[in-house]
Amino acid sequence: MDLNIPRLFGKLGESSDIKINTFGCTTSATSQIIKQSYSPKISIVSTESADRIAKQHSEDIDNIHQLFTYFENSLAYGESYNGSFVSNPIPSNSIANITTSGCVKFVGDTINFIDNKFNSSDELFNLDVYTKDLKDYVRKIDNHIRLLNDSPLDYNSYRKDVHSISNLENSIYLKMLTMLSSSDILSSFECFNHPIMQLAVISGNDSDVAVKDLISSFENKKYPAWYDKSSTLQQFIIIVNKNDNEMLQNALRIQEDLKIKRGKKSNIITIDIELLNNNGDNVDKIELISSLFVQNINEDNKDYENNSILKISKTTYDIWKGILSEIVLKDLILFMDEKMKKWNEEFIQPRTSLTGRLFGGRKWGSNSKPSFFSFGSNQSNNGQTGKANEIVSYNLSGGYYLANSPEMMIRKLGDWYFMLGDYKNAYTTYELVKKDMINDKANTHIASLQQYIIFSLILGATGVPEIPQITLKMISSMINPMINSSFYSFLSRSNLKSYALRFVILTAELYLLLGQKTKLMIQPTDTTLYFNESIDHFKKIIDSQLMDSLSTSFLMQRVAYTFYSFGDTHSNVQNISNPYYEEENLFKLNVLNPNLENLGSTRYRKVQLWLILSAEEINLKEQPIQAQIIIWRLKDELSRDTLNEANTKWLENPKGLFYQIENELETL
Amino acid sequence: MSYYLTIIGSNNAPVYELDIGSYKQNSNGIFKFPDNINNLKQFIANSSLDILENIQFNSQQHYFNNIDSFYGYSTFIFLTQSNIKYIILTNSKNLDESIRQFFIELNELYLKKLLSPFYDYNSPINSKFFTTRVKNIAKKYL
Repeated sequence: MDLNIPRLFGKLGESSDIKINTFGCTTSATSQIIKQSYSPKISIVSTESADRIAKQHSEDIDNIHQLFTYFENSLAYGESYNGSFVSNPIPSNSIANITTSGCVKFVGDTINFIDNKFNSSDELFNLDVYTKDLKDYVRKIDNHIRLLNDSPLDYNSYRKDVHSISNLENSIYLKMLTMLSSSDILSSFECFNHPIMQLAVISGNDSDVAVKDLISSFENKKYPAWYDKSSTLQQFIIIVNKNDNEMLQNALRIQEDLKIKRGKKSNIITIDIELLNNNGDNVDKIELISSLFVQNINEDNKDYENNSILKISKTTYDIWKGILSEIVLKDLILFMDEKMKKWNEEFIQPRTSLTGRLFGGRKWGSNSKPSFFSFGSNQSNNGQTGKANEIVSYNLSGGYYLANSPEMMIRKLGDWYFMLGDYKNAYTTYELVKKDMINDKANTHIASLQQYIIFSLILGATGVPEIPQITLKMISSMINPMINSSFYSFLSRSNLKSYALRFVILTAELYLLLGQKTKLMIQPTDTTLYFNESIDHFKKIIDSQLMDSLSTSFLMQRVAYTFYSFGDTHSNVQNISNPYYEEENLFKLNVLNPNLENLGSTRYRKVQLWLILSAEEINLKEQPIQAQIIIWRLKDELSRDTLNEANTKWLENPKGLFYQIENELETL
Repeated sequence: MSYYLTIIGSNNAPVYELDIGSYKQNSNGIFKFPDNINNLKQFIANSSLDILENIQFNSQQHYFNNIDSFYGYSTFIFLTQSNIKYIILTNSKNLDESIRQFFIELNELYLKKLLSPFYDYNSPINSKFFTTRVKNIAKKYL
């Protein structure tokens, strides 16, 4: 039968050459999600007539923003993307690489601050909604697994479809990770979700009033004191019907008005709207998969699997792709580059230069610090927000820095470096501002800053895994204390559970990535260090009991996958010839179990332990299929390297957990 | 304080298992692991073999003190020349030397068992006499 895998994640691996791992999704897929979630954001606003044109692309598209999310993958993966997910990870470590790949994330009108969004310290996501969404997704996957085969699901059918089932199962963790890292909520202490560009899309038929409304909604709005409007570039796209001359004339007039009167850049895009409505077979169509993050945008739309594929003509695809990549590569990146150079000169160089070091012991524009060497406190205790040129930059009661304060600008510069994959500069920039924030007792800011210092360090190290840049000493003396203090700050001081969860889980994922990359090198170094760190951080979340039992179960499966990685990518295998004594002493041959080539380097028994733990966490009545699959995986693992059945029998004893779960599943 | 003892043969299959309760520190000799550990103890002991395999050929020692741990439960292993493993899983603290002594006497007992013409190497031990002797050694040291 034709397998109806959920398109959003099921497509991963289905058409790519990523080797499907039966224990969990590969780190190349998870690192793609992490890097894409920290890519520059483009906020999309559109007029009603532009949305009407977007709707003609497909029945499932309601507005321009939804249409653009289908182009996120093709922008991220360049020309090689052709309607399917390719396995090449996003290039990192070089601005040049990022600019050619153009990885961006399209978000809605997130800077349209209304009501609750004005709060400077919102949670990234609601944990209850997250739990419900995850359960829904697992239910959906369970249904797909049931429908995989006409016969009822048993161990034989599981073995037969093991790859399809593993693909579906792995998608659950990817989904979990996406939900953790996909929030568009703006916060005062990190700038990743502050859109770098606002792309206003209008049609050639739009009136001057509609255009004016769009501009004034951006320019004349009252923004919170921590939001910097000047670091958001506003640009326009005017859609014109190919066969409508009048529309084109109007568009040209709007373009001129925008340029002369408002100083805004705009691009005209000519689309054959008749072609959009042509559903005939004679048109060369292309399939686009929607963004991994799109589901969070359409929380109400539960039937996303049907609208996650967009079929459009090759011509239309080329037109949109062309204009979007031009905007990203020429306008967005150039804008970022200019701003970063400016901020660098304005804020970084005075601090790092010799004169800056000698005489820069005080804040810029401030003579308030008597100490020659210290970067002292610069906070406002009375809660006033202050004006741009005031000395006070940190609002203690509100818990935010003013948008144009040096601390915030340096933080933003670091975030922009991070977004462009320049982790080395991001790290040094973050370090530069840390001391000021500590003096100001800006706890949430410090916690967030430390989070990205750690991310920069690990991601920077993954770029050159042949030279281990993160040593045991660094981990124990610098990274782990920072992780502990940030985790505590997020949880206890700031009451931001979602940030704490995202931080530690992503750190664990990055350690796993670093471990696997290092292990792939010809001379593998002590990669167990990174794997152990990864496991410790997953355990930290499991032990904190911040998440529901289903998520905990998947985290435990991730721990199992990390243990599995100890032996999985073992490349430095030495050929060992049979020692002479093995011929004389038959008992010695038994030591060959499991395999002398990788004896001691694997952790398959740990995998078994964590798999059974994860099965225990699952509610057998609610998710029997999930528990059953774990038990089958465990059975496969138990038969991996046993010479006789005694080993399995020992672990399957009637008083043991394995037997109990298996028995309970049979009675269901 | 309680102890879970298992002897693993050279083929990594279990030969012998025993739950031991301590008589020291006002304990009454009753074995009491919490349920969630009790029904996992075989898996925990088995998983520590991964760590043992990692270090056993780089070390000359027989006794591996606190080789692995799982949520407050430590694993102690005594490795014989013939790759038989005596494993203890316990929540006791600071009893390294006692456990080592226990292992040494257990090893003597096991060697005597091996000398028996009715016992096959690596086969399960079902002798009540053996259990009594093990319990006596445990009473002495644990």
